[in-house]
Amino acid sequence: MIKRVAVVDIGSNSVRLLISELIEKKNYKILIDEKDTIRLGREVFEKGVFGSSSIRRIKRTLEKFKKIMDDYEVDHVRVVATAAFREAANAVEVKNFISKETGIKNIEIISGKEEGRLIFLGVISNFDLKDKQALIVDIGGGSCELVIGDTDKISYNESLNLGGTRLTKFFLKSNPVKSYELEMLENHLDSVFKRIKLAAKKHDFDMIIGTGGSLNNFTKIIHALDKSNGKNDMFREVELNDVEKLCEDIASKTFRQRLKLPGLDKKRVDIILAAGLVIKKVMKFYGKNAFTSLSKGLKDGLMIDTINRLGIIFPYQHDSELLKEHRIWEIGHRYNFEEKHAENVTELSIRLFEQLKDDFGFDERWHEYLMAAAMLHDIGYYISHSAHHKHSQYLIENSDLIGYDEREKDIIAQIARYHRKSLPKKTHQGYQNLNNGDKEIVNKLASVLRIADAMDRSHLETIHDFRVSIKDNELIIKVNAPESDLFFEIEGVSKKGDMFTWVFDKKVVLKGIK
Amino acid sequence: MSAIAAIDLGANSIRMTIAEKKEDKLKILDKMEYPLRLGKETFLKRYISPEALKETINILKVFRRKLVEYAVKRYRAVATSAIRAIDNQDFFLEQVRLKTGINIEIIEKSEEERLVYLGLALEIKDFKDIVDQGVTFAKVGSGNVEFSMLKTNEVFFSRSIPIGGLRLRENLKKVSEEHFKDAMEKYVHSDIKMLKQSMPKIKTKNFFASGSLVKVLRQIISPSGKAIPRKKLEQFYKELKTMTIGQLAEKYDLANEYADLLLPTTEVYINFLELTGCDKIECINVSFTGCILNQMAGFFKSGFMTKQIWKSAISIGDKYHFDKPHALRVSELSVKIFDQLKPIHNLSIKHRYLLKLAALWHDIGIFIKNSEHHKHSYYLISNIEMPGLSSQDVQIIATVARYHRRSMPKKYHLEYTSLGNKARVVVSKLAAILRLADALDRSHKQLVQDINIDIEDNEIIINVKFNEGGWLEKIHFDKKKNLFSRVFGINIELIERLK
Amino acid sequence: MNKKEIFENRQLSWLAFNERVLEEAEDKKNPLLERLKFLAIFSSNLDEFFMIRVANLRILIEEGIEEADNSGYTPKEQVERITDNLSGLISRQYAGWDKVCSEIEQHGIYFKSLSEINQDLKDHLGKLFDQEIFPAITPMAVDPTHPFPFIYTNTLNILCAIDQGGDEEHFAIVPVPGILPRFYIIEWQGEKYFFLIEEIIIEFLAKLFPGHNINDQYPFRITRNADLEVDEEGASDLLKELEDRLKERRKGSPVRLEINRKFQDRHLEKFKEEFEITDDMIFNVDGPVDLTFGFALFGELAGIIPGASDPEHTPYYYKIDDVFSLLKRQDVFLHHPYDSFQTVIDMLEQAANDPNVLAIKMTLYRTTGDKSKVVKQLLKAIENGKQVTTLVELKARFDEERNIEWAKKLEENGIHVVYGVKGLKTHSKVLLIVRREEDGTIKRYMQFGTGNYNEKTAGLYTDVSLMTSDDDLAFDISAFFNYLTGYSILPDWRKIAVSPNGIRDKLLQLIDNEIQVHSKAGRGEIMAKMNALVEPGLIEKLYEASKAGVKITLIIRGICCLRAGVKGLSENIRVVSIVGSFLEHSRIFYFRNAGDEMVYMSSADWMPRNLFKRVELMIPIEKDDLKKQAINILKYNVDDNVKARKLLDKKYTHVETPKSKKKIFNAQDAFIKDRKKMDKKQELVSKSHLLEPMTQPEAEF
Repeated sequence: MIKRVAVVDIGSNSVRLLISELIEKKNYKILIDEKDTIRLGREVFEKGVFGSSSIRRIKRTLEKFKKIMDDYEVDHVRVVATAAFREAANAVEVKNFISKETGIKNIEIISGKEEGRLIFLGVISNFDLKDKQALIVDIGGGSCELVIGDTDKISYNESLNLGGTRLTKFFLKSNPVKSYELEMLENHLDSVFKRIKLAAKKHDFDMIIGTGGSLNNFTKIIHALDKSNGKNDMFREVELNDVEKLCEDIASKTFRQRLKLPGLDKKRVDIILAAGLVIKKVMKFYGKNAFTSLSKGLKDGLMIDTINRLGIIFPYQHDSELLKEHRIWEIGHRYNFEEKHAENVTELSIRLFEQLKDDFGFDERWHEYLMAAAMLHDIGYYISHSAHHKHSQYLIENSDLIGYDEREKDIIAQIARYHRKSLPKKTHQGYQNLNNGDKEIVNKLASVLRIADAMDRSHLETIHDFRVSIKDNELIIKVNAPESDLFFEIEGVSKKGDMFTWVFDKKVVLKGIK
Repeated sequence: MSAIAAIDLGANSIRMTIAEKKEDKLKILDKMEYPLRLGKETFLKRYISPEALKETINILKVFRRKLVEYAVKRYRAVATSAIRAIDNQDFFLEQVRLKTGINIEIIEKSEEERLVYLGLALEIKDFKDIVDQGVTFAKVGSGNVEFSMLKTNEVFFSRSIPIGGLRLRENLKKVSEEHFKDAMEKYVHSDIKMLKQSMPKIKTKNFFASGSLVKVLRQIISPSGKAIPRKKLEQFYKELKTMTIGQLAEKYDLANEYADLLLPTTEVYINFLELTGCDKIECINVSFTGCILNQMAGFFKSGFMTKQIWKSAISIGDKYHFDKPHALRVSELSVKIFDQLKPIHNLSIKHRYLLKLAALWHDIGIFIKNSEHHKHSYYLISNIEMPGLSSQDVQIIATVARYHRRSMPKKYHLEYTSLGNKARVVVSKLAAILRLADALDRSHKQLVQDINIDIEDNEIIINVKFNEGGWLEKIHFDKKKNLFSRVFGINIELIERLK
Repeated sequence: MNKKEIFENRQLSWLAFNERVLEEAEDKKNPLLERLKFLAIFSSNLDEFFMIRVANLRILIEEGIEEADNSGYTPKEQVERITDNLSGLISRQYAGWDKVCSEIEQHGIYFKSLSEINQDLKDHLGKLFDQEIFPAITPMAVDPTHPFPFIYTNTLNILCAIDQGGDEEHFAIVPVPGILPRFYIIEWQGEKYFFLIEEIIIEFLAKLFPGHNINDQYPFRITRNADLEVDEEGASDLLKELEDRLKERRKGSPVRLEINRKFQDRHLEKFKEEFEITDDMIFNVDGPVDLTFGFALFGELAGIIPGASDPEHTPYYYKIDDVFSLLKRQDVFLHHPYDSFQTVIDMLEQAANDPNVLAIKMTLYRTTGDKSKVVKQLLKAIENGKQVTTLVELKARFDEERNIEWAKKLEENGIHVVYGVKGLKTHSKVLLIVRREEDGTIKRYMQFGTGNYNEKTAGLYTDVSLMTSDDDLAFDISAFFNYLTGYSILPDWRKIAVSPNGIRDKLLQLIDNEIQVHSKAGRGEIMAKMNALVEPGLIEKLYEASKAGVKITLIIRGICCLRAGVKGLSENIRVVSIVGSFLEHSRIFYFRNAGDEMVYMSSADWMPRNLFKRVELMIPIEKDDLKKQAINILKYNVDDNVKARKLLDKKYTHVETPKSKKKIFNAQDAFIKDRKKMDKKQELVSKSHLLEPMTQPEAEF
C-alpha cells in the first residue's frame, strides 16, 4: 500500500521536493518540504540550452533529493519539470542524463497549461472559491501561468513567458535598475497583455489570486512594512497602491539596499522586482484593486494530482461545494474530535445564531466563523484535557482552513478559545491583537458557542427543538422537552451563559416546556 | 536512625505519617488525617481564604507537636493540587512557615504521580507480572480522577480528569438534590466519552484503586474481601441512588465528608471499570505520605522510573505520528555526543535525560504543520503532562526541541527568556547538541554507525562512521554547527572515518 | 413476645440495684459503720437518679412524649413505677437509719433532739450557734417586695412562716450554710451527742428574726434537673461554654422535694405553686433529710468506734524498678484495689523523669483534686521538657467544675490540654508514653484501665489495668489520641475497638463468632463482667446466643435489662450481681472461641450511652498468663456465695451462703487473701535479693 508520496518540481528558479504521508486515504501530511534555488532559467533563457554548470547543479540537487526520498522510503515518486526544460534545446538529453546519473526515472516535462492546471488544483484545495471566479496568477522563474476558473472547472488557461528570472535576465540587468530598463519591461508587459486581454476578458472573474515564491515574498515585504507582522501566513490580501509603492521602492534601491527590506528573501533580491511588476500589470489590466497572495501552488497541486492518479480522491474533491467543511472535518479527524458532539454543537450554535441575528445584529458572514469554531472547539482535547480550549485555539491558528483568510482564522480560533473557562481579559494576547470590530465578533459568537456547548454538555444530544425569546433582561431558550430531563442543561446554560450576559447584559435561562 | 515524617496538604484533608526505618521496611508509628477541604476553595476561587489558612495553621501546629513528640528530625511537607494552582500561594506558604515553622514545598503533579507510582511498585506484590498483564491504576480523588493504564512495563496512557467527587459536587451544586444523581451521571458520562476518544482501546486485566473513598466503598461493599466486584458496585450504586446523603451517613455510619462524595465516586468507578473492561476493583493502600517516606528512607530504586518515562515518551511520539527510527536515532546520537562532550559541557545526568527526550520529540510538531514545525513541537511538548517530569523539565525539553532548527535562541524569544539564566544556558547547550545529532540523521536513514569525538585545544573533531553515503548529513552538519560553536566557544568539525 | 417480656426496664432494674445496696445496709453481718456508709450510698445514688433519670423522664412527660422505651414503658408509666417502688425503699432506708443510730448509741454517742437535752447543753449549743453558725446564715425574706429566692439543687434550707404580730404571715428562707458541717458531735459531761445543724438552727431561729413570730418551720431540700446538654456544635470555646452552663445548672426545674415533717396545707399550697411541684414529687421522710452525711459521719466515727468498719485495706504493691525494660519483655496486668494503683503512678513517675521519654499522653476523666499524684507527675514531666498532652473530660458528670479548674491549671503549666471530641464524652482511660530507645528507635508504652486516674476511687473500686508496649496497640492508641486531640479521621484499628459504635460492632461480631464456633465445635461460652447491661441490640444478640446453646455468664453489678434464665429466651444465661465493700467496676469480656480464648477489657458498659455517645476503648488481653488472671477474676465473681445475688427473670435472689465455713467464698476477700500470699512470696524474693554478692567500686580503694 502506498503510504509516502514524493513530488519534485524542477522550476526555472528552484527545485522543490515535497514528501507527504497519506493518512487513511482522507488526508495527507507533509513530511518534507525541501527547496534548492539553482536558477536553471538564467542560462536557458539566455542561451537556450543547459550549460554544464546548470546540469551539474540539477544533478547535485536531484541526487540529494533522491537520497532524501530513499531515506523516507517513499513509495511513489513523480518528477515534473517546467519552463526551463520546456525551452532548453538539450532538455531531453539532459533529462536522460540526469535519470541515468541519479536513478530518477520519468521526469515529466509538463506544458504551461498543465502547469496552470496543477496550480489551479493546488489553489482550490486550499482556498474556498465557493461561488467565485478567480484569476490565478502564478509567477515562476520562467513562466507566468494565468488560469481562470471556479471550483468546478477551468475556463481559461494561459502560460506566458513572464517568469521572474526570465524577465530580470532580459530587462533588469543593472543594479540598481535603470529607468529605461523599467520602461522597456513595462512596454513588454503591455504588449503581452494586450495580446491576451481579449481572450481573458470574456471570462469575468471576481478576484485575483497570486502564487509563486517571488510573489509570496513580495507580499510578505508589504505586510512586514505594514505591520511588522512576521507570521507565516498562508494567504494575504494586498492592495494595488501598496504594490505600486513597493515596486517603486525596490526599483530605486541597489541589491544591497534591498536586503534591508524586512522579510525579503535574499535569494530573490534580484528577481523580486520583476514579480512585483508583473502582478501590478495584471491588476491594472483587469481593473482590480487588490489581489490575494496564496502560498500554495504548483507543488501542492502536483501532490494532489499525483495522489489522485494513484486512485485516491480526497473527500472534498467529490463535492467542491463543501470544500470548506471538508477541510474542517479533516482537521477534526486529525485531532480525533468527537464528531457527534461537534456536529451537535454546531447545529445548536447555528440555530441560536439564526434566531438571534436580527435582535443582536449578527452579520450573515459570521455564520461561517461560528460554524468553523463550533466544529473545532474541542480539538485541543487531543493535546490535553486541561486548557484544551487554548490548545484548540493554537491548533486552529496553525491549521490550513480553506475559505477563511488569516484574520478570519484568528477570529475563529478566538471563538473556540472562549468556548469555556475565562472570559476575555487584558492579559489574553491573542484576543488583544484583534481590532475592536473583530473583538466584538468574537465576543458575540463565543457567547453563542458557549450556550450551545452547555446545551450539549452531556454530549447526549438531549436538545433538538428550541425557541428563543427575549424578555426584559433575559434571553429565554424554551426547549421542547420536560424540564425534569433538562436540569443538567439548565444548570449548564445558567453557568455558561455568563459570556452572553457579559456581552449583551442579558441573563440566559433555559426552560423546558412540556 | 530516628523517626521521619511526611506531611501532605491535599485537597480534602491534611495528613501526616511518622515512621521509622526498620531493616528494609517502614514501620509506621503514627498517622493523622484531618479533613480540611482546601480544594473546595481553590478549585473554584484559586485562592485560599484567611479562614482556611488559619485552620491549616492550627492543624500544622498539632503536627508540629507530633514531630517533637517523636523527636523527628527529618520531615518533608508537601502540598499538591489544592495549593498548586492558587494565586496567593507565596503568601500562604510564608504564613504557614512563620506560624508553624513548617516548610511546605509544592509538589508538581508529575512528581506526585511518579512517587505514587513508585509507591505502587513497592506495595504491590508481583508488580511486574501484573503490569505485564495490563493494569489500570485509578484514584478518584476529591478534585480529580487520576488514571493510568500500564501494560508490559510501560505507562501508555495517563490522564487526570476533573471529575473528582468534590469537584462534581461543587460544579453541580446548583442542581437540586433530586436531580443531582441524574445530572452527575450525565456529567461523568460525557467526560468519560471524551476520554474514550483519546485513549487507546486496550483492556487491562487488573484494576487497582487507592484513596480513602475507595477504602470506604470497600468497607461497605465487601468488608471481608480486598476487592470490590463490579456487580456488587453496580448494585450498591442502585441503592445509593435511592438514598439521601443523610440516610447514607446514617446507614453506613459515615462522616458527611464521605457520604456526599460516595455517589459520584461510585459512578466514576463504574465507568472506569467499563472503560478498562475489568470486573473488579482491587483496593490498595498507597498513601502519598507513605510514598514520600519510602523515598526519604531510600526504598525507591533509582532509575526505575526513567524507563517508564521513556516508554510513555515513545507513545506520545506515536500519538503525533513521529518518524520513530529517526527520533530514536537522533536521541541516541544526542546522548552519545553529550557523553563524549562531558569535559566541556558541565551538565548533569538529568540534563542528559532531558536532551534524550527533546531529541525524541523534536519533530512531533510536524503533526500540526510542517512549516515552523519546531515551534509546534515546542507547543506540543510544553503541554505534555507526564509522571516524572516536572513542568520545569518539560519547559526545558520543549525549548531545546524548539531550537533544533532555524533561528538560534534570541533575547526576544519569550519562551527562551522566560526560562531564567541557568536554564537558558542549559537549553542552548542541549539545543546545540541536538542540532548536531539531527544533522547526523538528516537523511532519516540512520546511516551513522558510530561517532567518536576528539576534544582538541582549538576545535572539536567528531569522527563519524557511516554505513553508506552520508553526504547529506555532512552538508547539514556544516549548516547546523553554528549554534554549537557559539555556545561552546569552540569550533566543531565532522570528519568521516573510512568504513 | 412484646417488649416488656424481652427487656427489663432500666429504671426499675436500677432501683433493684439500689435495693441491693440497701440490703447491704440492712445486713447485720456487715460492720455497723459499713452499713451507715451503704445508707449514704443509697442516698447519693438516689440523688443522682433523680437529677438525671427522673428529671429526664419528667422532661419527656412535659414534652408530651408518650412513646414507650425499649422495655415497653411510657415515661409516665416509668415515673409512676419509680414513685411506687421508692416509697417502700425510703421507709426501709430510714428504718435502717434508726437501727444504725440505736446501735451507735450503744457505743456512747447519743442522738437526741434538742427538746430532750438539758438547758446547759442547750446553752452550749446556743454559744456554738452564735459563734459559728449565725455569722454564716443569711435569711431571705419572701414578701411582695422580695420574691421567692432561688433555691439551689440539693441544698438544705429551712422554710419559715413568720409574722410581725397581727401582720400578714409571710415566708422566709434560711439556707443551711454548706460551708459548715452538717452535724456536730458534742462532748458533754463525758458523753457524746450528735446534733444535726438544721436542728440547732431551728432551735435558735428567733435570733434570726427579732420582733417576729415564727409560726412554723420546715427543713427541705429540692432536687433539680441536672442533666447538662451543652450545645457543643455552636460553642467556640467549650471551656467557657461549660462554665456558663454550670451557673445555669442549678436553675434546672425541680424534680423532687424532700421534707421531714408535714407542711401545713396553706404553706404547702404556696410552696407547690412557687416551685411548680406536683404531689408525686414530694417525699416526706421519717428522719433527717439527705442522709449523704453518712459518709462524713463514717469518717468521724471510724476513729471513735473501733472495729465497726472493715479493716483498712493495704493493697499489694507491685514495685517495678524499671518499668520500660520490664514492659519491653512482658506485659503487666493489675487488679485494683487489690493491686496498688501506685504501680501505675510509678510508671508515670518514671516516664516523667526518664530523659529518653519524649511525650506523655493521658486521659483524665475524674481525678482527685490538686493533690493528685497523677497531676504532680505530669507537671514534673513538663519541667523535664516532655511533651505532655491530657484529655480532660469536662463533661464528667458532677465533676465539671473541678475539671474546669484543673484544665486551667494544667494549661497554665504548659500541659497541652484538649477537651475531647465534640458531642461525645471521653470515658476511656489510657496512658501513652513515647520513648526514644537507646538505639534511636521509638517505643511506646501504655497503660489501659477500666477505672479513672483517681487514687481515691482506685482504692475503693475494683478495676483492672493493663501495661504493655505492644507495637500494634501503640499504633492504635497514637491514632486514638489523634482522634481525641482533634478530628483526625479514624484509621482501621489494628487491635482495639473504639466507641462510638466500634465496640458494639466488635461485640456483636464476637458473639456471632461464638455462636458459629459453638455450632461447629460446641462448648460455646461467654463471660462478661460489667456495671450495666442496657443496650437492646446486644441483649438480643445474647438471647440469640443462648438459644443457640452458648453458655453465658454475666456479672453485672447494676442495671441489667436482660431477663435471665427465661425459658425459650435465655435459659443459658445466668446473671450474677455483687454488691461488696468495694464497688465492682471492672469490665472484662471473655469468649471461649473453641479454646483459643479471647479476653477483652473495656472502659465501656453495655449501655447505649457508652456504646454510642462516648469515646470508649476495648482492648484485647493477649498474653496467656494475663488472660488467665483476667479469667480468674470472672471465675471468682461467679463463685462468690456471700455477696452474690442471682437474677432469675427480673428478680434478684441472694445466693444461699453455705453453712460450712470452708465452703464460704467471698470473692473480694479471696482477692485480698491471694495478695497476702503474694506478699510472702515477694518477701522471699526481696530476701533473695540480699544474697546477691556486692562488689565494691574500685575507685574507693
